[in-house]
Amino acid sequence: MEIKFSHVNLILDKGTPLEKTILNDVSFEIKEEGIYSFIGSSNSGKTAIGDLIQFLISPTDGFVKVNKYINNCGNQKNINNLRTDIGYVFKNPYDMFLCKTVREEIDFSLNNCKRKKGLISASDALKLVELDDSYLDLNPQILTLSDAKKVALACVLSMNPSILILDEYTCGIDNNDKKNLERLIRMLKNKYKKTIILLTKDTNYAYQVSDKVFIMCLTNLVSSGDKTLLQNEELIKNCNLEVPKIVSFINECNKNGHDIYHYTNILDLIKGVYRDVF
Amino acid sequence: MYSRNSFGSYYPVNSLVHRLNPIVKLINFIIVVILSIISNSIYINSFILILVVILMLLSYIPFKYYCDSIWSFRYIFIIVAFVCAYFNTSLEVCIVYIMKIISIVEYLYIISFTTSPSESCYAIEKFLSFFNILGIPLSKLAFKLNSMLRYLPLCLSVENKMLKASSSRGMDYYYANIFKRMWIALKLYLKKRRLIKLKNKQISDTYKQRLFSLKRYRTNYRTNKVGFYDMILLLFHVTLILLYLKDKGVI
Repeated sequence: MEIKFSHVNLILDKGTPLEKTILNDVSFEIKEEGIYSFIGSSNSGKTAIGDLIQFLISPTDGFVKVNKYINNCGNQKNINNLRTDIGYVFKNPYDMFLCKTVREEIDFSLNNCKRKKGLISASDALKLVELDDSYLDLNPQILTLSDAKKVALACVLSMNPSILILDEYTCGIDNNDKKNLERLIRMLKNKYKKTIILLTKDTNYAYQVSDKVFIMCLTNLVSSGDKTLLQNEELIKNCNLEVPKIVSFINECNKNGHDIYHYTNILDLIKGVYRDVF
Repeated sequence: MYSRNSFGSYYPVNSLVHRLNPIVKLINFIIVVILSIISNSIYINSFILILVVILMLLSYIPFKYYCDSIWSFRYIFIIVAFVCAYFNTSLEVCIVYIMKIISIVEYLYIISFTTSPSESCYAIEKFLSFFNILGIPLSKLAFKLNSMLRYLPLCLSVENKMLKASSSRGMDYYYANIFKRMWIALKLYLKKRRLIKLKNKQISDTYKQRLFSLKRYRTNYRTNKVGFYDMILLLFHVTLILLYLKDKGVI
């Protein structure tokens, strides 16, 4: 599925004293499946990118093209087909919940899907996110943040979307869940050829899992490229982001005369350091 | 695709209307409502409408906010026009009814845009302070009235979130036609009620957590003293009353 942003501007309350620029001349293209991370600090416009891809908002200028659909303020036909093909997990998972139980919540997504092939049942969707059937009859509004995020992801996965957008998903979840998520998104990418878009400020996680990164700062898309971009400490610091710990460590070691390859995984790094030192 | 409807939300800019005393604003609003209801004269209603437009301009709030509110009342205007046509009333009466609706709604918008929740609570408490001698729990009453005024924005906020959530999962509202929108609104109605109830509970828990007590006055400070512009505006409203009395031949 192809996604194209062409000179997209998004301004809220334009022409009023409360005018706020959300996106400023953002252009990029995503053509192949893979794991793409939009990294930026708060108010950099990450969520707006997710909303624009799902046609939940329209750009003020420019256009967003997703497959044959063009988001440029015009009227859209059969938009539900596109929306069910793009799974979008909101920043606040509780905002996604409408129903009394988790089962109804997942069925809500399934019932809205026109295509009946490839859909995943409520029980299987929960298994994908490491939850068991006991959650099916629980009220999603009373779940913990971590479980609520998993249920929101299960709701989206049940529709078997081609694109999966995760907005700040790693924020507030433990390491174990992060590892499970990494395993899941790698499986979705490699086995099912899905496109995964992470909207995050967690540079450590993005460095570990991404194929390509887009760095955003104050409504602008500053830079894009493969994840080696995150090794540029100056760029990351200028964008008010945290330099990935693994990168800081390797850069520090290399400054002190070692020659350590830029590993993305901590286990590989330990092996590398062991080889270098001993 | 943000909501057109912004009723009840405070718009924080520094304007003459924002600086007016909240009690005077409340008294002026009551005068306008009573005059709009009892007067059927096109001249009186035109004067009220002109006053409302002047206040709109002085509030420094973009005109499109007010226009959006008029647009959201379009079906009510159409119904009024149909009812007038059905009862064979004159065009003038029909226009007067529409002018009354616009005046009251827009005045209410001006009040909600320019008065913060604490100011409005203060105004209601002070305005009703006369009833203190009767032993009525005023702070409780003022709080309830204020909560009622702010209930609608809460409903709208929950509704916006629900529509975004349902749209993102294949039940589109934003690009749907009027019939489909009505169907979606009906389908989500019970869910919305449940979520609003939940949100209300969260808000009440927050009040409890912050040691809120209804037994004492919350607004024991004095906001925006009554000044020159308050008196001028009040004078305009009193003039409207005099015009009405003159129209009725009382003076």
